[in-house]
Amino acid sequence: MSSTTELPTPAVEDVTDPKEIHDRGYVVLCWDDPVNLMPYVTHVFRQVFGWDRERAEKHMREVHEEGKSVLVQENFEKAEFYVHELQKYSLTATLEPSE
Amino acid sequence: MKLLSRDTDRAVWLLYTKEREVLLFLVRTGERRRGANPATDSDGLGIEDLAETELEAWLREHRNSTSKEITDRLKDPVSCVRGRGGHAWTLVNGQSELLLQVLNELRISAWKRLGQPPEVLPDPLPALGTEDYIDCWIMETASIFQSQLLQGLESE
Repeated sequence: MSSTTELPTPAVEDVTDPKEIHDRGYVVLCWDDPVNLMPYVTHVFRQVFGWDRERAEKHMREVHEEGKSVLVQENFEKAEFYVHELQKYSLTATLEPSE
Repeated sequence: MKLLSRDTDRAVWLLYTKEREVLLFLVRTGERRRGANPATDSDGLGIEDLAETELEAWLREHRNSTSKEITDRLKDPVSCVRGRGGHAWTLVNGQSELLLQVLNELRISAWKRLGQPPEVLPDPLPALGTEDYIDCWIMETASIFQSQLLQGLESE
């Protein structure tokens, strides 16, 4: 894989297509760790998901204070893609089937 | 390290001569010390563990190529132009993000080698050996560069 692959900048949008809702059966979680800096985590969320600062900071605080945060709900391929992007930045991210 | 200018696909950073030397030394030392981490043994693993091992291998390859790309860029006199008292270092197509990843990986690897200490350190501190001091230096120095880089990237 080329290390110069451009990072994605998609914003997570509301979905109205029922099929797409059905397909979005996975959640991407980010877990707390004692080593990553808070401004760094905020920056990574903004970069990977294209969020504004407020939204990124909200999820960063959730990770820091509650131990984890559900970042997005997507289909498997997209969720896996996001997990890999977060892991490239050395964040602890996983995907799980949504309940 | 300070952001001089930025547009959609490039950022120019000011690196003082000593900063450039320290950054090169930091990446080189971090890579050498990374070898101190034990390799993952995939014998007898289940499917999930095997997938995890493949992911680790993929991430390791990504980190090695990223680190090389950044080091090459730093050594390249065309992209890192020497001026009076410093260098104007041009990073293109998301390379500033790659540098951020490299610095963070250096910090995390050093933290792991130090035994993954908690945020609040115990008192008294455990005894440290020479290798531990090197890892402490890697963590601190990488975080200084990381903070300066973030400050530039997050500036509107």
